[in-house]
Amino acid sequence: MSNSPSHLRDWIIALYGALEEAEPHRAQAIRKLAGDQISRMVLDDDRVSVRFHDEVLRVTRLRATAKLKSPNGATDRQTVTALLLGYMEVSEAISLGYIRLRGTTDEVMAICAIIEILVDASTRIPTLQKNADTFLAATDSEAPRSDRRNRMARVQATAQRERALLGREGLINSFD
Amino acid sequence: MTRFDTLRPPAIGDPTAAAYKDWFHLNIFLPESGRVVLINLSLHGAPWDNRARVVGVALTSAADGDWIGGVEVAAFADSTIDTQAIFLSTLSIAVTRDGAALHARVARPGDGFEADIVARPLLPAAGLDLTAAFGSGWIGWSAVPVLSISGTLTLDGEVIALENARGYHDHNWGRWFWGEDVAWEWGAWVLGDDITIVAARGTDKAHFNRQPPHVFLVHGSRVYGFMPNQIALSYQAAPTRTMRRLPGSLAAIYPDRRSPDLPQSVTLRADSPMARFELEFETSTVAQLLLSDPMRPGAGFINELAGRCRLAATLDHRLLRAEGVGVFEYVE
Repeated sequence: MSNSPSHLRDWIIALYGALEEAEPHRAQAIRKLAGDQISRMVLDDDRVSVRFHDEVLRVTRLRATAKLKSPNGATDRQTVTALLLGYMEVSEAISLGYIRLRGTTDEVMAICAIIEILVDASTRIPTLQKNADTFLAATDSEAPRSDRRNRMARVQATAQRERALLGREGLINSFD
Repeated sequence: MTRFDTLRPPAIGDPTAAAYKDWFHLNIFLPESGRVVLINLSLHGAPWDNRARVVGVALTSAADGDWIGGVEVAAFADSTIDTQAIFLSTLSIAVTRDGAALHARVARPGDGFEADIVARPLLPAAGLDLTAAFGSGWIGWSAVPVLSISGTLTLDGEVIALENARGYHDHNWGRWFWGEDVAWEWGAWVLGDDITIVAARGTDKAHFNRQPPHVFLVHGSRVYGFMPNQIALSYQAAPTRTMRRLPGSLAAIYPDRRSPDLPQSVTLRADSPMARFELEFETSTVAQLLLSDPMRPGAGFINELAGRCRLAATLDHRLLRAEGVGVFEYVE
């Protein structure tokens, strides 16, 4: 039977557990950022609530139809794969709606800061890197690559139409 | 006897081992299409520390400005490393058993990059080999700057002709931590008439405190070297959108590095009694490699600028003009 994480709950527990073992001071930083807040996280159809109770991480599965209270963050496996493989930037993912963060400014900033701590630590913690490798091994890399090509083609087509418009209006030199 | 260098791992008990860095680098230049290929296998950290990492990069600039390829990161225990070879599961660089060639393999069909390349030195003499102080430690550099290229290269399903391709290989090693206030500027340009030009200088991250440059020009089998006071390397920098940043996880936590100030054009002039030249390089597209040190917090950013170049030169009193393709590395 595989020990690889399958549900979002398993992933979050595995990631935080690896961090707590290898760099406990950074795990403490995450606990400080999270405070008493209950956050909801969504990855495709997996929904969880996340909180710290007496400094212990509690991750609870939610029904797929559960209403998401703020703060919450949602994305999908294909977006995570595209980010990990460098086929999409975080700013693109957010502006295109592939990553959705809801909450007050402080709540959203805390979620982003926690993710940053985990990613930064992953460069020094072998277990975290293996988790990322396991995640990528289970997802398709061709789709993010073709999506990127399509996005770039749309951006270039838009840029060409913009240049043509500006050229027709005499605002820039016309291009052939 | 091989003209290729060997890896320089630290000895057990070396107090500087945590800062160990070592890599084999190969560029393939495709003058007709203006494309640049980069294959690099690197070692970071003390080999016996389970945090130490092997990083493999395979990237190619594409006509539309994008970059094809990807990165593999693995533990030392999950890699195979020999004195002149580094093997990951999808990338490898190794000197052949007879020491006569460099063999690079990339098997990343998911990233659209597959290659089985043999690179053979074209110069009869040994290449460059020097070391210099670098941050808290030092850096070594040896180069085999002119290589013939054969084998197969398939990018996004397209088989790439290699008849006119030329290669450049170097080996860097030393002791420093990514994130220290150290950086470099390095360029390799391949032009018609069998000309290759290489330039390099160390600097700080802000590129204020630049070290004396090293430049040499190869024309056929003749190598022209230049003293630092005979060289002028300058560029026009502007905020530049990097087209591809790897690995993606580090790119996600360094969004502020997505559009750094980078050279839009580079001018390299050198003047010695036997050789004088001016090289103009125009950046077409940029990829960024983010390197986080596995031993302590800190990161370096290697911007790979690919583009075309023009040369006007007088070599041994003979006037030459040539065009070509090249890469300029601007590190922060």
